[in-house]
Amino acid sequence: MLVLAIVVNIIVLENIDLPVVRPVLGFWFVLVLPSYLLFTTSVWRKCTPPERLGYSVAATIFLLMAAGLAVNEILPLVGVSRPLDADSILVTCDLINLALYALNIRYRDRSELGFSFAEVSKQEFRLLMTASLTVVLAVLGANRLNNGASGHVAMIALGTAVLVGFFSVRWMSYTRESIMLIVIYLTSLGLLLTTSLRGWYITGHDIQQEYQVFQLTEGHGHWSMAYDPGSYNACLSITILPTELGQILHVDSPYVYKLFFQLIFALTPILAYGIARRYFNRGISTLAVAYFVGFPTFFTDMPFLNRQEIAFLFVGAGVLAATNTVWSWRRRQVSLIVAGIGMEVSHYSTMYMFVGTLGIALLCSYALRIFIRSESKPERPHLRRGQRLRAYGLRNAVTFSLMFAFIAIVFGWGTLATKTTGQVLTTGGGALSSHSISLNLFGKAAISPEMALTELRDDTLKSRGSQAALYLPTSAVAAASTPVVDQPTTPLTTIGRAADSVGIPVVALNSLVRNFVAYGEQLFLGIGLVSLIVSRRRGQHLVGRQFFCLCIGSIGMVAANTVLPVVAADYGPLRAFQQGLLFFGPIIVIGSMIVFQPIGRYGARIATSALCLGFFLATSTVVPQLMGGNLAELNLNNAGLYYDLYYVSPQESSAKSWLGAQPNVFAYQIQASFLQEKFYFTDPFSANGYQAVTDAYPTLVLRDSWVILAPPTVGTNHAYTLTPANGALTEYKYPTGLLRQYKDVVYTNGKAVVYK
Amino acid sequence: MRNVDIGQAPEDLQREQPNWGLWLFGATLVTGILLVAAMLSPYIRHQFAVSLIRQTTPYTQLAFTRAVSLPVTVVRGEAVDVSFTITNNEGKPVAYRYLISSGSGSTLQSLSSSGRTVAAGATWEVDTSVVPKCAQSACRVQVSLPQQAESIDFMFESENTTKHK
Repeated sequence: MLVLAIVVNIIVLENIDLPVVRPVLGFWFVLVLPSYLLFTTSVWRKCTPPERLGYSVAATIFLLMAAGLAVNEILPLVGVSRPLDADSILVTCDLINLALYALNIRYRDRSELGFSFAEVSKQEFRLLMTASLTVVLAVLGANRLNNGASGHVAMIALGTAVLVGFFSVRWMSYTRESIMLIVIYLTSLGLLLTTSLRGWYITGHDIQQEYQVFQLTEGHGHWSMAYDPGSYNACLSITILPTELGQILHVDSPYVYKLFFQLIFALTPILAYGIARRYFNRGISTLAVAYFVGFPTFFTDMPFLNRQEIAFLFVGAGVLAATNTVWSWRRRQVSLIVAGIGMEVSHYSTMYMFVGTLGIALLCSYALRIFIRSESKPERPHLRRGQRLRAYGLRNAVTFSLMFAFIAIVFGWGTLATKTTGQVLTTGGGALSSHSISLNLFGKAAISPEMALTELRDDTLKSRGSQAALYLPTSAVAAASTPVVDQPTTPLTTIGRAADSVGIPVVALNSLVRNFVAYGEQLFLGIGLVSLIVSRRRGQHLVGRQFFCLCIGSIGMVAANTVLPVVAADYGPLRAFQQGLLFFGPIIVIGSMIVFQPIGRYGARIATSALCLGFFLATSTVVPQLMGGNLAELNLNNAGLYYDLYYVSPQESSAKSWLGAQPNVFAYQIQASFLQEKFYFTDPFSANGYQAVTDAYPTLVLRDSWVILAPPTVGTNHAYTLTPANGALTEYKYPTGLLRQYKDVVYTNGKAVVYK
Repeated sequence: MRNVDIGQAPEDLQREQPNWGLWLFGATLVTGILLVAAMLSPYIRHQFAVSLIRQTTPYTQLAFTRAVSLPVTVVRGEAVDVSFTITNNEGKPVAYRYLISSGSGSTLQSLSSSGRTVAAGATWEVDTSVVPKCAQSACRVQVSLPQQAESIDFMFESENTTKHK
C-alpha cells in the first residue's frame, strides 16, 4: 500500500504520463484507498456491508470536496495562485490518506470483513462472469457505435444485464450477499457505461455545463464563483472534485465524467439495496434494485447529470444513516446532517428535493401519531434478523431541529456562500410566468407543436420592437416557413416485420408497453403504499414509521414535481421518481406481489420477478430494439432524439474550436439550435463562464451573430427549439436558404457550418 | 463482532465449486479462436479495431482566415484579398484543389484556382486576391473545394468606397 502510494506521488510530481497505469493507480490513491481505510475501521462497527461501503465512499468524497475547498481558500492567502494544481492536490490526498491510515491503525475493525474467493460457488462465479461481461460489452458496444458501427454489441450488453437479473433471483439461495453486491455494482456500471461512453467528446444535456465549470476550475487551477456566477459553478462535485481527480489521473478530461464518475455512481444501487434490506428480505431487495437501475432515467440521463450522481450517493448514505439500527438517535441525526452538507455542495436541487422529502415525512409522522395507534411490536412471524427487528421501532431522526439544520445548510451554502438560491427560484418563476409548464396535469388544453411554433414566431417578432434592425429582416423571416417534423421511429427489423405480417401492430405495441410500464409502476406503488397503511392500521409494521414517512415524503415530492412548475422547472418528475426509488423501490415490489397474491405465494413470487424482468426488457429498449418501430435510444443507435440533440461529432468539435480561436469572438452573439450548450467553449484558453449561446430559430437570428449549424440541421435540415407555449422541444425544418441569403458562410467541414 | 453475511455461505444448501478446469479450457479456447480469426480474417481485425480503438473520422476544414473582417463593399473592378485555410483531417495526405468564383446570381464565374498536396493534420494557408466579376451590385465570392463538396463565401456591394464589416 505504502509502495503504491509512493509510486503515485512520484508519477504525479514528475508528471509522468503512463496510459492506463496512472489513471488506475491515481483512482486507487484518490478514492479507493481512503475508502478502504475507512471501510475497515471500527467507526462503522456492526453496520452491514452496503452501509459500510456507502458511508466510507460518501465520507471520502466529502473529505475530498471539503479539503479541496479548504486548500482553494487558504493557499491563495499564502501566495499560491493555483491551489488546485496537481502538486497541491497530491499533498492534500497524502494528508487525507495519512490521517485515515492513523485512524485505521487506532480503530481497526478486528471482525472478518473479507471473503475467500476459494469459497465461490459455481453459481456465484457464473453471475460474476456474466456481470463482468456486461461491463466489457458495454464498453465495446459504445466504442463500436462511436466508430459508426452497429449497436448489436451494446444490445448484447443489455441482454446480459437481463440474464444477470434473472439468475440473481433464480440462484439467490446459492449466492452470498457480498457476491450479490459485486454483481449489482458490475451490472449497474455496465448499464451506465452504455450511455456515458457514447461519443468521443462530452455527450449529453446537463453535462455540457457541468464540463464547462469543471474546465473553468481546472483551467484557472482555482475555484471561484467569480468565474461563473451560475448555479452549476456552485456545485463542488463538478468543480473541485473532478479537478482533483483530473489532476491526479491525468486522463482526457471528458473521461473524468464519462468513466470515473460512473465508477462512483454505480455504488448507489448497492445503497438502494442496503436501504431495502433494512426492512425486506433478499428477494424483495434485489427486485427493488432492479426497479432502481431499470428505470430509464438511471442509464439514459444520470450519466449526463454528474452532480446529481454524487448527490445521490449522499442521499443513499443519509437514508442509511437515518435508519441505522445500531447508532444512537443523536449520531443518526448528526450523520444525516453531514450527508445533507455533502448533498448541498454536490447538487442544490437534490438537496431541495431531500429537504422537501424530510418536510413531508415530518408532517406525516405527526399525522400518524394523531390518526394511527402507536407503534407496537411487529407481528410478522418470519422475521429473524435482530437488526431488521430493531429497524421497525427506531426513534425518528427527522425532527424540527433537523429540518432547521437542513434549511440552515441551504441558506449557508446556497444563499450566503454562492448566492445561487435565488437563481433556482427565478428559473422556476420564469417557467411559471412563461407558461412553459402547466399548473396541473389536467387543467391545460394540449397545444399542438404547430400552434406552439406559430406562437413562438409571433411572440419573437413582436418582441423585436425598436431593435428590429438588429435581426434578419422581418419580411424575410416571416416568409421562411418552419414546418414541424415528427421524430421518426426505427425501421421494423426482421422479427418486427414477421410480427407485423401476422397482424401484430408493432409500433402501437411498443407504445402500449411503454405506457403499461409507466402506469404499472405507479399502480404497484399505490397498491404497495395502501397495503403498508392497512397493515399499520392492523398494528403490523412492514416498515418502521420513520421509513414509511420518508416514502410518503418522496412520493409527495414526485407529485410536487408533476404539478408544481417552480419545482418541475429545476428537477422534473423523472429525476424525482429516480430519487424516490431509493425509498419506495421495495414498495413497488410489494404492490406487485399483492396483485399476484391470488395465484398463491410461490406463484406470486415468480410472477413478480417475471414482471420486473419484463419491465426491464421494455425500459432498457432491448425488446423494442429487436422489433423496431420504436424511438431510437442513444445507447443503442446512431440516431434518435438524444443523438440529434446531444451527440458531438469530431466535426462539431472542430467547428467549435475554430470559432473559439477567432479574435474577439464574444463581440458577437453566438447562436445555434437546441442544445445550445453543446457549443460552449471549454478549452482553458477560451472557456468563459459568462458565455451565452442563444437559439437560432429564424425569427431570433441577429444580423451580426455567429450561427453554427450542425447535424441534424446540416444534412436533413431538421432543427429543434424550445417552444414555451407547450413547454416542449419542437422539431422543425430549418430554412437554411435564409441564412445563405443574409449571411456569409465563413467555415465548413462538411458536417458543421458557421455563418457570420 | 462478525458482520452479517460477509463471506458467509448460505447455510441450507450444498455449494458446488466451479469447474475451474472447464472454465480455463473454455476461456483459452475462445481466446485462441479469436486470435486465429483476427490473424486470418481482415473483417475480424476490422471488427476488433472498431470495438477497441477510436477510428479516424475523415474530414476537411475550410475557413476564412479573417472571418470577422470580410469586405462588405468593394470598388468595382478592383482586386479583393481572399485569405482562407484548408485543414486536412482526413487521416492521410490529400491533394486539394480550390476554386474561387464570383457572381451575382446562382451561377458563378470561375476566377482562380490552385492545388497542393497537404499532409495529414496540416493546414494550407492561402492568401490571394481576385477581381470579382458580377453583373449586379450585390456580389458573392465563393471559395470551394469541388472534390470535397465544401464551400465558403461572402457577399458584398460593388461601390466606389471600401468599408469593413
